[in-house]
Amino acid sequence: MKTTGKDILSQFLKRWKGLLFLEALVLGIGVGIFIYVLTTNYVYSIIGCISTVLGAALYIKPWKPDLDTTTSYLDTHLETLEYSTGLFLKNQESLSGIAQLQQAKIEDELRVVIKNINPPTHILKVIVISILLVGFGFLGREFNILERLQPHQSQLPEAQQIPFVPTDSIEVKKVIPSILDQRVIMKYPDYTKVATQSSTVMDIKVVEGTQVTWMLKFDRAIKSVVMKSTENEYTMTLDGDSYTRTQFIRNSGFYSFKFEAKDGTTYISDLYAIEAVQDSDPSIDINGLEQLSSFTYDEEKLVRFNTEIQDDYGISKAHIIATVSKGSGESVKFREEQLFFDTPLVAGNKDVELAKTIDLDQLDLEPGDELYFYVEAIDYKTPTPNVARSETYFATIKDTTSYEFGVEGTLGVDRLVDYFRSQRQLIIDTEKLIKNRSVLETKEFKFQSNELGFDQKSLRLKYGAFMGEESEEIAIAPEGADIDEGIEEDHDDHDDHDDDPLEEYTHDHDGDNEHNLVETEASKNKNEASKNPLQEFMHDHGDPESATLFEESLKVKLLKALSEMWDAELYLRLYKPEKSLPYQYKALKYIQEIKNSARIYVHRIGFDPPPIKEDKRLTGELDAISSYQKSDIIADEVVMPFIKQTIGRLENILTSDTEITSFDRILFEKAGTELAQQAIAQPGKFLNTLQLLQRLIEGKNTSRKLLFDIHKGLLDALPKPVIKPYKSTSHLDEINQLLLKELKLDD
Amino acid sequence: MTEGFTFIHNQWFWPATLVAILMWSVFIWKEWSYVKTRTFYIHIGIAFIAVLSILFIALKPAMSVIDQSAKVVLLTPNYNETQLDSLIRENKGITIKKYTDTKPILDTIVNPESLYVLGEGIRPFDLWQLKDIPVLYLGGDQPEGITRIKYKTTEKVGNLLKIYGSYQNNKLGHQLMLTNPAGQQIDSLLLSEDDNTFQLQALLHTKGDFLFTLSAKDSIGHTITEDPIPISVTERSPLTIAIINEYPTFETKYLKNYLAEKGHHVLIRSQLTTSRFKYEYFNMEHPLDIRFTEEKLAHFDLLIIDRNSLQRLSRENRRILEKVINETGLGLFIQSDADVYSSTLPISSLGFLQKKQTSVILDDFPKTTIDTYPYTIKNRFGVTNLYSHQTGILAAYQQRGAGRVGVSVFQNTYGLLLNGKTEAYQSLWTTLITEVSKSEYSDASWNINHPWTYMNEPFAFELRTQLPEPIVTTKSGQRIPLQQDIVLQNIWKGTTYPDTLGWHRNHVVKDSTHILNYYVIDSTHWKPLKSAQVRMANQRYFNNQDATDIELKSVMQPINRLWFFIIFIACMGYLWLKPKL
Repeated sequence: MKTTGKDILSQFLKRWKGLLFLEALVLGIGVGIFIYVLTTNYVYSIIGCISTVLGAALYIKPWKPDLDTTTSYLDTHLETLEYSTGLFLKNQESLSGIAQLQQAKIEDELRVVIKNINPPTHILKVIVISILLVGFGFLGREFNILERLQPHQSQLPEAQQIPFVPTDSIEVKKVIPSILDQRVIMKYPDYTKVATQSSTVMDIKVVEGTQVTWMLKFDRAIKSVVMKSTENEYTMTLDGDSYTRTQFIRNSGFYSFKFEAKDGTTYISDLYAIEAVQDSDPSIDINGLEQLSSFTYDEEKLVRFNTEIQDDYGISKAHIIATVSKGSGESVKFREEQLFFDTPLVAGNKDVELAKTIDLDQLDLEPGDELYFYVEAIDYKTPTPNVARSETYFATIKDTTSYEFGVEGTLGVDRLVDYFRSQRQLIIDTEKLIKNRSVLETKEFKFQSNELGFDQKSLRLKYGAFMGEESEEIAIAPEGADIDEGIEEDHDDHDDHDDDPLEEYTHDHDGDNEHNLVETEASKNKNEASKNPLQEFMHDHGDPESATLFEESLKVKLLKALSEMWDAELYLRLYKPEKSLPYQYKALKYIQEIKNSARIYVHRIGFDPPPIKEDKRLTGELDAISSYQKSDIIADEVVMPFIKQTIGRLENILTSDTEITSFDRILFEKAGTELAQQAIAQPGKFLNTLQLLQRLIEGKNTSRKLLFDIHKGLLDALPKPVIKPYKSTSHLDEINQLLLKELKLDD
Repeated sequence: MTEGFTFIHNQWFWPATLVAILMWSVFIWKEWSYVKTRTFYIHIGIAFIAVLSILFIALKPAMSVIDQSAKVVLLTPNYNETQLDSLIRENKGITIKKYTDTKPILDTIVNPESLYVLGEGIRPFDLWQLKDIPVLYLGGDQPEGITRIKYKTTEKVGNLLKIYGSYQNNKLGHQLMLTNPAGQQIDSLLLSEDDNTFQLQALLHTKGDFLFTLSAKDSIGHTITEDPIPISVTERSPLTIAIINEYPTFETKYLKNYLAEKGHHVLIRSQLTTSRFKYEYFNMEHPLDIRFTEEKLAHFDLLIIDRNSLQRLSRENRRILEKVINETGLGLFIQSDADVYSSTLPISSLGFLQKKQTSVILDDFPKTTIDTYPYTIKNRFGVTNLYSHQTGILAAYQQRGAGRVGVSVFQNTYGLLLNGKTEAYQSLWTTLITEVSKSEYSDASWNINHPWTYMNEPFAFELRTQLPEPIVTTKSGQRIPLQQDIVLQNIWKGTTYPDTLGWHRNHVVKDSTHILNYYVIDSTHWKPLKSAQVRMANQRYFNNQDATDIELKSVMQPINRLWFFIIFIACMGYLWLKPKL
C-alpha cells in the first residue's frame, strides 16, 4: 500500500521522539559510567544513571512533539513543502479541490525531501558530552579527585588507623571498638609562623614548644581512654563525642593509647614516636674578611664584610659587638660598642645577607690600637631566644713608631750608625739593584754598586773588630774618618786623580786606605808592638791568631765569613753585583751559624735549681717521703645489660619452647626502656622493635614470629663488642701436667 | 665329626650305635646256621645296611651344602643401583634386605653366610649386630653437602665464631650462608669446584645459647639444606693484673687505663725512691697486696714487670715467683725496654736476635705501623709465637710449668692510641694479655664430636675430671651411667638418649658450673655429615675384611630320612623274601 503523507509524518514523529529518548538515555549512561569510574560502585552508578535519564527526560520531554509540531517544524524548515503539510492532517473530504491538488503535490514532494531532514534533536552533542564525561571520569580517577575533594572525610586510610589489640588475647573474638576519627592537631609556637597542622598520622615530628592535641573518636561508647607515655599515664577527656588531650612538647619520646571498653576489656595500641626538633641556633657566615686585617696609619682604614645569617624560623635581631683596645701592657683600656649593619635587617626573615663597613677612624682607633668584633644573631624562640655568635675578627693599625727592645735600649740614644747595614739588608739591596739594572742609568748603577761595596766593607770591619782587627776598626771610627780626610787632603796634590776613569762614578769613601797603605798610625803602632819584647809572654787578644774571644770553630767561621765578605765587596766594587751575591749569601750563612751557637750557650744557663739546705744534702733520709696509694673504680658500665639478657632469654624461648614468665616480662620491660633510648636517637630503626616489644609485654601475643622479630631487632641494637683481654678457660689434668713437666725437663 | 658330614642327634650316637650293634648281632645269630656259606655273608651284609639305615634314621645325618640363600645384600641409604644389579647377576638367589636403624638387621636370617653392605653403611650403634658375620662393605654414592665441620662449641663474648669444614660434590654456583639466630645473614661464600673446604665466621655479641644456621643454596638462591650450628657463648671473665715498674712510663699509663676501663682488676706499683712506692688500685673493692709470697702472688692472673724490677728481685723472691708461675699458672709479661734484649730473659729461656727493623706493619692491622725495637725473638722449642713478621717473631710466650712467660719487641704502643688506631692497640694487647695470663682451670671438661645429636639416638660424651666418682645427670635429673677409662683414670664415658628436641644440658652433680650443652635436632638435618660419619665408621669397622676373605662356606643340611627308610624296607624285604623263594 502506498504510504500517505500522514504516515510519513507519523514516522518522522516517531523517529523524533525516539531520538529524544535516546538523548536522555545516552546522557544517563554517560553519567552512570562517569560515576562508576570515579567511585567503582555499581549502586551509585545505576542510581546516577536512572536519575539522569529521568531528569533529562523531564527536561527534554520526548513525549511532547505531536503531529502538529511535526508539521510546523517541517513547514518552517522545508520551503518546498509550501507550508502545506498541515493538509495531511485534515480530513480528505473537508478539503477543497485545490487543497486536494496541493496535498497530492506535496505528498510526492514530502516523500522525497523527508529523507534530507532530521528531527530537531541534540543527540550528537549529548554523545560528545557523554564521551567527555567518561573521559573526565578516568582522569578524575587517575588523579584521585575524590580524595582531594573530601580531605576531611572520616574514612581513615587503613595503614594510618590506630590498631588496637586486646591486652588479653582470649578476648580476640569480641568486636573491638574501632576508631572513627583520629587526629593530631599541632599548634606550633607563634614565633615560628607555621600554621596549625592537623594530621591522622600518629608519629609526629614537631619543633619544641609545640602544643599538640590528640583527638580520638570511637564508633561506640567506651569507658575511658588513657594515653601512655614512657613514664606516665594521662587520662584523655571526653569532649563531645571524642576523647582529647593536649600537651606541650618539650622532649622526644613515645606514647601509646589504651582504652577500656564498656565490658571492661582493655585494648592497647601500637607505640608512636614524638620527635621534638630543637629550634637550632642561627648560623652566621662572615665572607670576604680575613681573621686579622691590619692597616698602616696612612691608608684608608675600612673593614668591609658580608654576613649571611640563617635560622630555621626567622631572625629577630643581628648586630656587631665591637671592642676597641687602646694602649698596651698595664695601661690597656677596653671600650665595647654595639654596631648595626649597614643593610637594615628585615626581622623574621629566615635567610639574610647583611653588609657592613667599619671605619676604624670613626671608632677613634689610633696606631697600635686593636679592634675585636663579632656578629651576634638572635632568633624568635620563646621563652629564651637562641643567640649565636660568630668567630671573633681582628683589625689593627700598625704602630710603626714603637722600638724593638735592643741591647742599646739602656743607652737612651740610638747608637746605630746610619751607614751600617746588616748582611741581610745588603743582600736585599743587591738583589734590588740587580732587578733595577735595566731601569737605571749605567752611572747610577755603578754608583749604587760601589755604595753597596762600601757598606759591605763597613760590615766586614765591624765583624773584624770581633776578631781583634783593631787596625781596621780605626778606619770606621769617626776620628779615623777625620784622620783619613786629613790625610787625603795632604795627598791630594801628589796623586794623579785625573787618570782615574772611575772617579766620576765613585763616591770615594775608602780610597784613603790605598793611600794609607804606606804608613798609618795604627800600622806604626803595630810595628812597634811586633817589636815588643814581652810579646812572647803575654796573651794578646788583639792578635787574630790568638784571639780567644771565641772558641776555635767560631773563630774559623768568622774568618770564613770575613773572607766571603771580602769577595762580596770585591765584586760589588767591580760593578758585578750578581757575582757578589753568592758570597754575600755564604757570609750570611756563617753569621747565622755564629749567632745560633751563641744562643745555645744561653740555653745552657737557663735552669736555676732551687737551693738545698746544706744540712739536708746527701743524708739519704726519706722520712718526709711516704708511699702513695690510690684506689679507683673506673670500669666502663656494661652496655645495654637488659637487652643482652633479653636476647639470650628469647633465644632460649625460641629454641626450647619454654613459657614466658612474669620475670621475663619485667626483663623485657627493662630492655624496652634501654631500647627506647636508642629509638629516640634513631626512631626509624628501632621504633618497630619497640612496638613489638611493647606488644609482648602488654598482650599475651607470644607468637614465634613476634619473638623472632624482636630478637632480630634487639640484636641490631647491640653495639659491636669491645675488644678486651679475658681469662681463657682450659682443663688441667694429670696428662697435661705430665706433659708440662716433660717440657720443663727439656729446657 | 669330619667336615661336611655330621649327625643332628649327635648326642645319641653311642647309645644308638650300641643298640644297632646289638640288633646286628641278633641278625648274625639268626643267620649263624648258614655260617661259612655265601648266603651268610650276603645276609649279614644286608642286615648291616638295614641296621645302619635304622641308625641313621635315629641320628639324623646332615651334609654340608653351599646355600645361596644365605647370602644377603644389605641396602643402606645412598646405595648404588648398578652395584646392586651386578651383585644380583653374580649371585642368583641372593637375599636383599633394606636397613632401617630401628629394627634388628638379621631378624629372619639366622646365620647368613655372608653379607654385602651397600650404601653409606650401618649406623655405628648397630654395628655390634654384625660382629660375627663376614661382611663386605662396598660403600655407595656420596651425597652433596657438608661432610666435615669443626668449630669451638663454647666461645667467649666478643670472639669470632669460626666454622671450618668441607663440602663435597658441590656444583657450580652453589653457596654457603651463615645466618645468626635472628635470621640475618652474617657471612657467605661461593663454593669453588677445586677446593671443597670452607671457612665462615661471625662475631658473638652477647652471652647465651644460640642457634646459628648454616644453609647451602644453589645458583638461583634456592635452599638445598639448612642446618643448625648450636653454640654456647659465655661472658668474658676479668683478669687480676699486677704491674710492677721501677719508674712510671707512658706505656704503663695507657695500658693501665685501657685495662681498668675494660673492667679488669689492676694493681700498679711504681717506685718513687728507695723503698717508697706509688700504689694504684683499679676496680678492686678490697685492694690486694703485692708481695712476693706464694699466697699473695697466687691471687694474680698476670704480672707485668719491667726488666729492672725483675732483676732487682731478691734470689728468694725470684724463686717464689718462678714457683708460682710453674704451679699456679701465673702469667709473667716482661715489658719492653732497650736493655731487655741484650741477653736471655730471667725465669725463661727467651732469647733475642738483633735485626734492622724498627717498625712493622702486621697482617692483622694493615695500614697501621707499629714501632719495634730492632730485635726479634729467637724461635726455639717451647716458644709459642703470638705475632710475627717476615723478620721473625715479634711477640711470643714460653710455657713454664702451668704458667707462661711472655715478651714482645713492640715499642711505644701507646702511640697507636694517640694516632687514633685504638682498635689496633686494643687487639694487640688483648692477644698478648689473654694468651699470657693464667687460664681458668676447671675441674671438668667435656669432649664431644658435635654439640648436637638426633632425637632418640645415643649421644656419647667423654668427661675429663679429677673428681673421684663423678655423677652426671640429664636435664630431667636422670643419672647417666659412666664408664671409667682403664688407662686414663680421669676419663669417664657416658651415653644418653635425649627424647625431646631443643637444648639439653648434662650436669655434674654437686657442681653447677660444669654443664655440657647440646642441641637435639631431628633427622632432617646434617644428612651428608651423618652419612660421611657413618661411612667412616663402617670403613673402620669392616676394613679388615675384603671380598677374597669371604669363602663360600657351606651349611649343614639334614639328609632326608625317607631314603634310609626305603633302604631299610628293601633290606628287610629281601631278608624276609629270600628264605621263601
